[in-house]
Amino acid sequence: MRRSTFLFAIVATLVAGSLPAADDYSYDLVHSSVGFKARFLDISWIHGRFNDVSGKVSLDRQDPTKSTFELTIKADSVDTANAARDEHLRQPDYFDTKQFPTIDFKSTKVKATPEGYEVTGDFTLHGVTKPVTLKLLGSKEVEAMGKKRVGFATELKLKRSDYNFDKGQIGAIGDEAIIIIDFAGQRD
Amino acid sequence: MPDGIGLVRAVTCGFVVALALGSAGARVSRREPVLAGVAVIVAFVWGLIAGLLALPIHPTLPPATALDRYLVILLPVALAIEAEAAAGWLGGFWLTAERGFVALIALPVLLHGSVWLTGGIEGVWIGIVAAALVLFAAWEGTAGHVRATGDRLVATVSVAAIAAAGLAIILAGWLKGGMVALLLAASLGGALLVAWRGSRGQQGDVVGLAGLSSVGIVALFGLVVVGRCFGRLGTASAALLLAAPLLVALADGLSRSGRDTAAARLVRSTGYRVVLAAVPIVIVLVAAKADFDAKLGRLLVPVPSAVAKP
Repeated sequence: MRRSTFLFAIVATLVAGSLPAADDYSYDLVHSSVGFKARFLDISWIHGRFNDVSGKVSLDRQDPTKSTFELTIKADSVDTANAARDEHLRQPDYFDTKQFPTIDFKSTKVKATPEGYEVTGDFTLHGVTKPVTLKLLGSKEVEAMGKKRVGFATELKLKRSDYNFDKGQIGAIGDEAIIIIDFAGQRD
Repeated sequence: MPDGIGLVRAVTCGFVVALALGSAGARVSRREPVLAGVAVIVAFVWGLIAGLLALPIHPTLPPATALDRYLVILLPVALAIEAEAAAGWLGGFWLTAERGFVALIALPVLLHGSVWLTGGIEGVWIGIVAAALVLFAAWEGTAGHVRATGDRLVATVSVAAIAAAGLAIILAGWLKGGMVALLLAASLGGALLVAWRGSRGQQGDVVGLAGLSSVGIVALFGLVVVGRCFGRLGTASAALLLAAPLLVALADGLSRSGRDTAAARLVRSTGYRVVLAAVPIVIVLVAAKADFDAKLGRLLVPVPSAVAKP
């Protein structure tokens, strides 16, 4: 009896050790979106989105501080429902997509909150990296369409001038911009 | 966004500063043509700086974009080489070697950190080597030709091609890149006017025409590369703009190499060579305007309301 208990303890330890400590979710491109809006003539907002986004979330439910969040946006995929304007936005006066092809976020510190997570990380836009803190709403996992799914929503307010955007081009399209992220993650 | 008046003011400022400093330098060094040659290059530099400050355009340091690297690395290095050459500090093999080295690194410097070098684009290094050979041949060939003949048209056409590149880049949607080009053209034009006046009645290169022509070619090359690789300047437009001053030099050089026939004199004539240079420049500008009207121009046209008026 004592011998079987000992064996069980060894097997249980090995199994626990081999189990992933965190749940890894990939970015579900179909059910996610990364949008943005920027002031137009200081009277209204121009809306747009990025169509090519990838990312991953690793959630450690036991120890949320070990969770990680990453997002990579292809700047070239900017879409404002106007092809001519999109071409303009890809140029060096704006996103300069040939020089700065991606917009990235990588978490450095994660804290659980009653609504979800407070994630601090490095945000890189237009070749400039700055620390930002995002308040992520959501963390509930559901099972649907054969996958386990989790979702988060957050917004990031920024000033284009902080990210080396050409100050000469801050006028009709204002300095302030808001990036709206709705991340749907999925895992098997 | 700088208004048109602000741009005109900056362009005028660059032109006037280059002209005034060049004239002052030429007067001071009247009996020293070598120093006058350096003075017009220095005048161009200060004209450009004045124009950039007037807009204002400040390159970021360390240079983060292609335009920054163009303004902070490529142009100053080319200017330093040409100033050394004008002063007679550098010549022969070492001058050729320095130009060759800069031609070789020009594209890697301009494209540094961009998708062109990091995106795994097939054949990009073949293009870089080919472009380096084109720049080296154009630079050496132009400098040698102007130094030997005192040809004033090469630098003049370079100024026109740089201005046309600026307009084409603006019409393609990159305002800052185009404005820098117009400032370059204005300050180079100001310095060139001084060299023109100084070279009147002289044979060969006496007041830095070769230096200004060389700087014009390198400036034009860097501009069309940056406009092509980062803006929306087409490959054909870039090639045509670069070809304009080279055609002028080539026509003059070839017509001098053979017998002095009537045909050779026609090819060498200023009128013929102006037309030769104007054709590619006009083609580029017409194409740029048509592209603007078809694409970006639509952004400036009021969209009719979807709601029918009663």
